[in-house]
Amino acid sequence: MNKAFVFSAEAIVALLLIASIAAIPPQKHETNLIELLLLQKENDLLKVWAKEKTSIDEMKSDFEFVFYGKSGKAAINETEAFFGKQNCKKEISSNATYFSLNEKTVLGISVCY
Amino acid sequence: MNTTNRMQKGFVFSFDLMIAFIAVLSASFIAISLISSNIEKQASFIEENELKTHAIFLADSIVKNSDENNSFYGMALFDSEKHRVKSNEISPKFIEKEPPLSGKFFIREISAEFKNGVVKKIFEKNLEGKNCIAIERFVLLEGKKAKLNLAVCSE
Repeated sequence: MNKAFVFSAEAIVALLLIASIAAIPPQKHETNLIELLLLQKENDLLKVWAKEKTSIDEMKSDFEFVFYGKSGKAAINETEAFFGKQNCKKEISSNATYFSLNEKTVLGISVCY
Repeated sequence: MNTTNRMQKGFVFSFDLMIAFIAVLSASFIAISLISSNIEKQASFIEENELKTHAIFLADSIVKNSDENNSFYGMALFDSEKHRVKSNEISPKFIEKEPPLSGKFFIREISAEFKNGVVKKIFEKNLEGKNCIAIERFVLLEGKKAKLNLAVCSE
């Protein structure tokens, strides 16, 4: 009787352990795709800004058009424009430099997600 | 005397075994249910991920490539003087042909939204999909800034 009781208890513990391992939820790897899409959109903006030789006001307008509701930053040389809350946990940044008539312009953009 | 003892042992042993069986079967049932549920979630997540990946790369191809034979693979302008593709500068015509289907995914709609709120339809297919995802990219459409919206669905 004692042996039977002990064996059953072990079997129950073992099966509960297997059940708890099986209950571990599947891990989601969605973050990489979100980051990729944000990076692509930032790249789109930088390309268009470089082509149009943009101003900070246009950059502000375009940022809000593409990343409506998101926090981030856009910069042209030393001039910066901020959107939303700045202390974000994760952000993605991209930069581009173009030369025009011996003048160098540095564009930057970062988005929080 | 011996018969009574055997009977007592038999009763206790059977009862104990019955409890053990119930406990083991219950635990097995719970384990199988949880595993089955996890597998279903994983399958659904993989399918969703596949759709997102497909849509993101298709949108990138449309915006970055130039293909005169098939606009669905590239709508960017081609600079024949400089012999290069002008990525993010597109000039699409309304496409009436069916886009090539890729397995279980199809393009449901391609449209462009300008900064003044005007929306221009480039392609539309009236078909219900199981799951759909919309991807936005920033482009210059015929010289004007616009968001290119691509809706891809799974059959």
